[in-house]
Amino acid sequence: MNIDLTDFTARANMIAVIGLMMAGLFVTFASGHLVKRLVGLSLFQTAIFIFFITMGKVTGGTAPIFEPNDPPALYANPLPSVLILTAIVVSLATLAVGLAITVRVNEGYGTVESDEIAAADARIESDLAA
Amino acid sequence: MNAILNHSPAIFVALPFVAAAIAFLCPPRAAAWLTAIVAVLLAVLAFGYEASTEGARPLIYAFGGFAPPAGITFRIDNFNIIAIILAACVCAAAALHALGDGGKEISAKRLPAACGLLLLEAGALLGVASTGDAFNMFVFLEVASVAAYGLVALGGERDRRGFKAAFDYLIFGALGASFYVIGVGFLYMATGTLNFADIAAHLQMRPAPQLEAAAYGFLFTGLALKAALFPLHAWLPRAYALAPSFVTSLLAGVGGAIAILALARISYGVFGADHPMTSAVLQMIAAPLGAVAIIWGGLRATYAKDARVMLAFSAIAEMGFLFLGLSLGTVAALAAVLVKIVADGLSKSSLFIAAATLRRFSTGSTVEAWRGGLSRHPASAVALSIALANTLGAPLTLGFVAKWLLLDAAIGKGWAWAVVVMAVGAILPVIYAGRALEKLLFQPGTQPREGVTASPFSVIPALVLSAALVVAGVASAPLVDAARAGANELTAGANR
Repeated sequence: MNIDLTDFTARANMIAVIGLMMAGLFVTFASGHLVKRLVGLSLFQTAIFIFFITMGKVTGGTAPIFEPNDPPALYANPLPSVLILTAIVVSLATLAVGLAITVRVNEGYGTVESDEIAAADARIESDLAA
Repeated sequence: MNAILNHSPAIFVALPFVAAAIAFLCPPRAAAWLTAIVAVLLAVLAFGYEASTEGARPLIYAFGGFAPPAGITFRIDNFNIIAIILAACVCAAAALHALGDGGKEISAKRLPAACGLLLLEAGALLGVASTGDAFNMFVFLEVASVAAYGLVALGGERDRRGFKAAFDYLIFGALGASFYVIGVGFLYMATGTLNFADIAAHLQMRPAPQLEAAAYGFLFTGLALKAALFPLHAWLPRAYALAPSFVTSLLAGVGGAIAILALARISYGVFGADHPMTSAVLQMIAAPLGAVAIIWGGLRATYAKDARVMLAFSAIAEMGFLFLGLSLGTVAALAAVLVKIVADGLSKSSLFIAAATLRRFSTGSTVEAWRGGLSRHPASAVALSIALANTLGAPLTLGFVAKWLLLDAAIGKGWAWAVVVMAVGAILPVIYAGRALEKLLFQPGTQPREGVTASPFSVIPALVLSAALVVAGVASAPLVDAARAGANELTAGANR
């Protein structure tokens, strides 16, 4: 079976995005430390930014800057980058709120480890347990 | 005046955002009053807006005068307008409750922030309901979610578990939004545009099966996370049970429903019901998971002792009904889903507000504590009873009409198993809501607690919402016709 290596090199961005995304998703769920879970979430979202930005790349194209005297013939699509500017702000806001909530969790429980929080909650009788 | 009318779609969303910024700076009582006035104004405007645009829909509003597909648009059609009215009404009820007894659940110094977040949430929900742009929808979904994380975290003040609940909600919510935005990315790769109508036209002309399949898969997963489809619901019970009651009334009322409506618009308005990926995902994933959610949510609600946990699991079961209805893929089913969303939105909002009022007159947060509610605080017990009867699917309520339409749609499609699941799912509420009703209405209560009063700002919204359930249940024709018109318009959109 012939494997064409150019398939991989042409999709290097996708391989990087998938790798980063899965690493982020893994940390988000496998880690018990709330701050690490937020780091995982950020990694996941960063992978999405790379996905969008590399999507706009046009082979052989220059940066999408308009020069009146010498307009570029071929340039990258600027729209995905613009979208990601918004997505970065959203991601930053989510991260900030997440860290703020983590601070309050720490004030309430004295820990930011999921299993210690679960152990503290288990002492209260409740039908909220999963 | 004409200028205001021309820009009304934008003003509708901008008004709560501007008011939110002011509410943050006000003293507590002023902030609560401002929020309540703005939210009620929005609800009144929503009805007036529906009447004034009658016959003129779909109304396309281009921001800054940039025509679509280049510019961002708001689209007000017969499908969206129902969501807009529902969202405005539920927000008004939540804001009034915050002005009344709901605001007492948090410390006064946090009330301005809570009111500001409530208005942000209201504006963002209206934005999701009215936007005609895929990426714009992501931004509004995220504004709504970030406001919701903060609102849920307010519950941590009384019970530290509220902070952890808000954290889990944030993780799931952020993942849901991320999945959604990946889906938008694939859609953009396939079509080179972000405007929903334009995407639909491009998909018709130049299909790109692989990219479309990837796009729909991610969009579906993201919105299912936001709507808490089983098994992606883990965040919901704690968030609903531990948040302040005015927050839960809003989130349970329209927070999840808005994600379903977004999914319906993308599935049927953009991809189209006969799109291979859409029908495959809906029939092979959404339908079975919805069925499991109906049964599992109903069972958990039956076993729950805490009143708000029971209502939260009931909400998960209702979501199952919506996803199962959505997967049927017919116009009748889509109309039934719309009616069910209205019924659930009004009843869940009323339930959480009335339960919070009754909670002041009884000891403990369990369903058991509702015993003799009618003698303790008749008004909220009546509101609670009507909303419970709606959950139970009792005739004369909108819940009955909605379940009837859904069953009818399932029979029309010929899905015998879905009919069986819906029938079982309709019996489970008879057990848990019936048990609660029996405690409320027929059991003698102990003496009411001395020196407790209920604010009319909490009692009246619950009563009005419950009354609306009965009025819409008895005279259901206008709403059902409106839902049919909306569903027809949405499904026709993909074939334009």
